[in-house]
Amino acid sequence: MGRIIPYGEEQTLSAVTVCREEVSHVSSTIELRAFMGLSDTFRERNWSNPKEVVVPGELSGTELLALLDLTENMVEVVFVNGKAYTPPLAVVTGGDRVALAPPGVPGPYRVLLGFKEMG
Amino acid sequence: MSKFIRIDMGTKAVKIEECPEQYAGLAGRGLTSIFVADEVKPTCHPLGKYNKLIFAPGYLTGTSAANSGRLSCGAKSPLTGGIKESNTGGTFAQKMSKMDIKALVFEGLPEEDKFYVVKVTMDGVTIDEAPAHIVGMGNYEAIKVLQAQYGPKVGVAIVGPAGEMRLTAANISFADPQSNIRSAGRGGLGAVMGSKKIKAVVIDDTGATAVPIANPEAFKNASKRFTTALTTHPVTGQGLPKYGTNILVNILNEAGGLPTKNFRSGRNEWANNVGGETMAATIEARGGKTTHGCHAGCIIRCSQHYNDKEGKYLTSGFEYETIWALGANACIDDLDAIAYADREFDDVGVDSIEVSVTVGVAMEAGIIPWGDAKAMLDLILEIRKGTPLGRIVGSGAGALGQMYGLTRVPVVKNQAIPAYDPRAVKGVGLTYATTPMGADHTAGYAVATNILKVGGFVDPLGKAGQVELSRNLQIATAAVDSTGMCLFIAFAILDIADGFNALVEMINARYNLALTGDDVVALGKTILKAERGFNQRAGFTNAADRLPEFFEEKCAPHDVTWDFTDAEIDEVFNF
Repeated sequence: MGRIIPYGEEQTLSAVTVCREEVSHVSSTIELRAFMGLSDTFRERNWSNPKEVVVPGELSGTELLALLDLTENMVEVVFVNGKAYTPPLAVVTGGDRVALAPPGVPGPYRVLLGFKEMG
Repeated sequence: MSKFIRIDMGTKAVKIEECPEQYAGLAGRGLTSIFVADEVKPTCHPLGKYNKLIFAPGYLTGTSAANSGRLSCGAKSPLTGGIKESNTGGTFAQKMSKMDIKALVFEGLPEEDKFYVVKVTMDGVTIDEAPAHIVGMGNYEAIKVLQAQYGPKVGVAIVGPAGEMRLTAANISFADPQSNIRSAGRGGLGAVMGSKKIKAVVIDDTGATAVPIANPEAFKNASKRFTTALTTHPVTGQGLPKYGTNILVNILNEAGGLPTKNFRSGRNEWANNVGGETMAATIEARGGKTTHGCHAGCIIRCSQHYNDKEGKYLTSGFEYETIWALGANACIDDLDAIAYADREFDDVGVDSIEVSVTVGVAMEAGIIPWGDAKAMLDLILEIRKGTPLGRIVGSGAGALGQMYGLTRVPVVKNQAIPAYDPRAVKGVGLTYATTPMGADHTAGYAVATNILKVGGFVDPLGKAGQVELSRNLQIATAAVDSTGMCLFIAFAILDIADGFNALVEMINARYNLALTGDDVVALGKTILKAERGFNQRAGFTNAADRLPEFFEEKCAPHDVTWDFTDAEIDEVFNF
């Protein structure tokens, strides 16, 4: 799977063109947010927050992170339409509201919000 | 043997005795709650002569253990009518421990209309008439006056104008290491202190020695491992120090659990404007401090110094719950206005959660418009003036809702529901409903995988597993509240089992004990049963363990409702 270049990102024209051609017949966008230190990462990359990201149909959270050039240790949870999943269990498709939370969200909420398995 | 000090504000008699046998093995919340359950008449008027106010540090307070400087304050609550433990940082607890004072108990009521300052030193306790000019004075200035009079390093516990007026949202404020303010916020304990005509308690530990440790080498080893757990965990080592608890605004908004417009929705579009990321950037841009400890030895340092636009210190301990209540629930999209409100809450001496939720109820009543920052600030300034409306606002959400004939009043046992919608975060909802404290998120906070046997993921929107989760969280929290530890250590010991083991080993090394994890669980259960027993004798039944009926409405974006049956809720305390 090729790297998807989200609309609005500062890229060379050729890269954007190639990327959009690759996904033009199947792609749609997600609305992506980043929290805590990941919001700094977005800012450093000159990405808006939230930002629209083109996705080629259904992706796992792990695949989404790869497309965004984010390592797995940077993200503990992927919210998809308000529900929290670990990256491998998340399923993202066009039209979804998606958010990335890094490690560091206070503990009880990681259990109460379904981030973390207990026992 | 540690000292147990009783101060009768009616007779002005002071009794310094050895700790009674039945309290010898207790500390922190365990001591305050079992003491109140034993010695306070459950049906007494909370502002009357039979109520007793107790301060007690935790098992590890005053030692070199990281984050161990917390103080428990207990009494019958004038807000809830039930038992109350309210917990605070500041310098007071560590001084008590170094002076080997197990507890300070304030009893009785003066007949005369005078406020007093109780002074505690190594030589004993004296009761002075309060300087006339600090009566009615805000807490920031009054702490300066008291530290100028009694010494710059003395610990101070004080009530502001709200406590003097015995308003049921009044807190007890404590000086922190920089003479700013931390608070035993919830449950109106400032009104109890005010009813006893205690303007302030000052504590001077000059001449005190270090807290004795029975097994220093074992303590040192355990303390080092405990510190490692805190500093290496991403929550306590990175997330909280940089963003504070306000990091939860965006997280809860995303989860659909950020109550908005008096709990009409779980999400809004402006949350990021008042969220932790925006707050951290604002603090940095204005030369404030994104990280600050509320007591000596705090290494999590989740507090901060939030400056105004001119770079002048405005407030600290600027917490998620306050920012949520004004920023989302009252729709005030203005972090600076919320910071000014937070400072006023500290200065006038009220619980910032209770009164912020009350602001939302005031908007519900049509007293002020939704989202109007100036009107909000004007409204809360009424408390200081002691106007009829100000006294209602300073008496909490339940009182204001009653005065205006409202049904949409988010309280349990008359205490305001904090910042997590119980429909979208159902485990918290069960804790709100059942904790003996009245709606309190911190009653179900501590998680440790090696002592709690909750299996599998718990869907926040579903009911499965929630009863067991809330029950176990409350048991563990009651135990941690007895250690003198900040509850935020729970964030690390959730994931790092050795952190919890080290915590128990520190207690064992301090007192030459052989406690196990099971003993800690047993302690938590004992505390909860004592608290619930007090409430039952005060007249509470299971009917008090219910959420307001408006939570049967659907909550966006998940369109979930509060759907636990009474029988399911009652299972939480079936242990």
